[in-house]
Amino acid sequence: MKAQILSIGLTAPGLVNFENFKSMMLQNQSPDTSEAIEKYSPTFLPPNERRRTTATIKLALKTAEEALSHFQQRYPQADNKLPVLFVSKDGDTLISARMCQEVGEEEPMISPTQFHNSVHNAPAGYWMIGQKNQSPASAISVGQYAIANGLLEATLQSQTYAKPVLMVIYDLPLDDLIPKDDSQNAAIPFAFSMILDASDSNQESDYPALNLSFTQQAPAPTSSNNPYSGLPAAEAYPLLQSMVLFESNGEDSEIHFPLNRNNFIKIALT
Amino acid sequence: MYILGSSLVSSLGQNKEVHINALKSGKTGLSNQTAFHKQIPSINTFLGVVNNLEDIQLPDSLKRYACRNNQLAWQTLQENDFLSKVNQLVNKHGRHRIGLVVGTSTSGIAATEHVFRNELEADEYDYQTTQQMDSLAQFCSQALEVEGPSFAISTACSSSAKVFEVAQRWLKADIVDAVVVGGVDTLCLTTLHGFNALGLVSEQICKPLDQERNGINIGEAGGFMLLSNTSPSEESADPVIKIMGVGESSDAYHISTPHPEGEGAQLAMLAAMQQANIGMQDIDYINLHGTATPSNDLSEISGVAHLSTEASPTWVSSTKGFTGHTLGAAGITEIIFCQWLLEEQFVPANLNVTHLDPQLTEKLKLSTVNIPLETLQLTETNQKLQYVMSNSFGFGGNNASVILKMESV
Repeated sequence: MKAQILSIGLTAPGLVNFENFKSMMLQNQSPDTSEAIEKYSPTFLPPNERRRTTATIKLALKTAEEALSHFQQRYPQADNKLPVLFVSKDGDTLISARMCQEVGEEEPMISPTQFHNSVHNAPAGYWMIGQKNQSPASAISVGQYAIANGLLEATLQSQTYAKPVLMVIYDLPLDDLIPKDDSQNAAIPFAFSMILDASDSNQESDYPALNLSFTQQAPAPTSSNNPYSGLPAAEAYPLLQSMVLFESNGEDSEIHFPLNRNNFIKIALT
Repeated sequence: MYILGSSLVSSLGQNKEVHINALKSGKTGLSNQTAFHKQIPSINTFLGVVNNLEDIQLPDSLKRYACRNNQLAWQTLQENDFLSKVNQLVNKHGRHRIGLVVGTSTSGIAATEHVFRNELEADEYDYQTTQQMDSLAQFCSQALEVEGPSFAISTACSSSAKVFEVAQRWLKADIVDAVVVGGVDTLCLTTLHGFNALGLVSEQICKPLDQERNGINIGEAGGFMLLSNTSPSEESADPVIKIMGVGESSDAYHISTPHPEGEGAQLAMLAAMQQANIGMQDIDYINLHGTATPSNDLSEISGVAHLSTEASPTWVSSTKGFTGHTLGAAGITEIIFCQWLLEEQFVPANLNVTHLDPQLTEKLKLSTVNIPLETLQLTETNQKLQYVMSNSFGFGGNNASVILKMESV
């Protein structure tokens, strides 16, 4: 199955947006992952909602907004009320860990805002309010298999709704309060978004199309040069890299992402 | 999509028979004196508790997933002959051709709560297999040994209704031959204190659509359905029930309050009806989201009223008075109820009503929508249920409606 990429967004420490990533890649530079994520305010939200958003929600919204802004500039006539799919392993553990700590107290006090922000679909809810968009909005978790399942679900949604779908995959490190092992400690936040079109519109695009196929065989993983390696969303890094190479010199590539323990999705750029 | 099997465990019990008996006789699963109440001394409310969940043993290979949510999932998979039905399809089609998609709002967060309450040692705790939002999907896939696409949807109280649209997509794309859909949500302190902070927890038994309704009772439940586009074997004597339409929408209104006129609810119901290729006049019964908060019931009834006409006799009721609000499991719980109502041909009472809210009945006065306060047994009348719809709405203004049909009436 095939999905045309119509727009891309990207946010991570040392990466302001996808254009920034592209120029770094073309100049053979490496992002500085120790930088803080650039400050962002979701100005498309009413002030009351805006001040309630958390760092997690902002990361998801910023990355969604980047892809939608580019889409609106590139396709000014297109319907911009797109169905959305937010994919995140953990959601907002900064909030959920604080709530868990609070219920350990004698008289627990949870703030109403904290509570409604704790739902996994909080970014989706804010996004739809801010965009005045009544389309379907989903929020899923697929652990380490986010890329394959996210791309598959967004592609199938686009077929179902016969219009492009905005997908955002975002992950942040687990909150410090949550007991964890060392492997979970080193993580760096990462978020990317794509507007994918698997309807039959044959829309022209600045980006390649993705050909998705199922396979039970994948080449052994090569040693990674992914500076963000750790969280599931960051596994998209080589895909985003190959997209830049495809755009600049038409370089073909195939990348495998695990769908689950024994199966993979092969992605070919065309 | 055909329903090939289903299993449900709630505070009412653990198989079809006990649920049907409770629904027919108006027996609630809610109580204000349960073992769980000890953990919430500051909250006075009714709960829908599944008793003795903490005693459920997981097999050794899945022990690391142990938490209240996965224990309920395990119990639900064992009941109602569900495992063997899934196994039959695994043998027929292969593991990688069975998908699994489940809904939950809080996954196994109770395990993390136990750590902070010094009820669980940090070194016995594993975030990834308990609280992580897809723990339920990982656990169920491994318990059923299926290897098709699999994930967890977490859109608050619409989670396990939205799983039906995913199943439709997978089957239509022919990437699977069957899908296990479901949802599990279990009692946890963050949710109880969170809803309490919002002023949405009732100290009385919840009274959907009642003039004096003042909030929800929280319940827990686990439910699964096995779906396929291939009809069940002809030898089966059971009536054939299909999922005919799924509709989704967003309110785009407020993060925790529904649109007052039920705009999003209308869009979800309309989308489901459009897919089923029917109109409101064809719907015989709607299982309401009906949480018993003042705002939800007003919003939802407004939405229903906007869509109904004089020509559409429809029964509507909420079954939250039986189970409480099972949150991320509410969708699957009530969709399984809808399946069983079609099979058994009765309409469950809208429980715990003393006086229907006149503001709601006023909205319905131009339509022929009826709210049954007693169970209606239809087998001995000339009325019947053919199309029924279930509504589920969640925080973030996230809505889903699912339509079921009895094929062989």
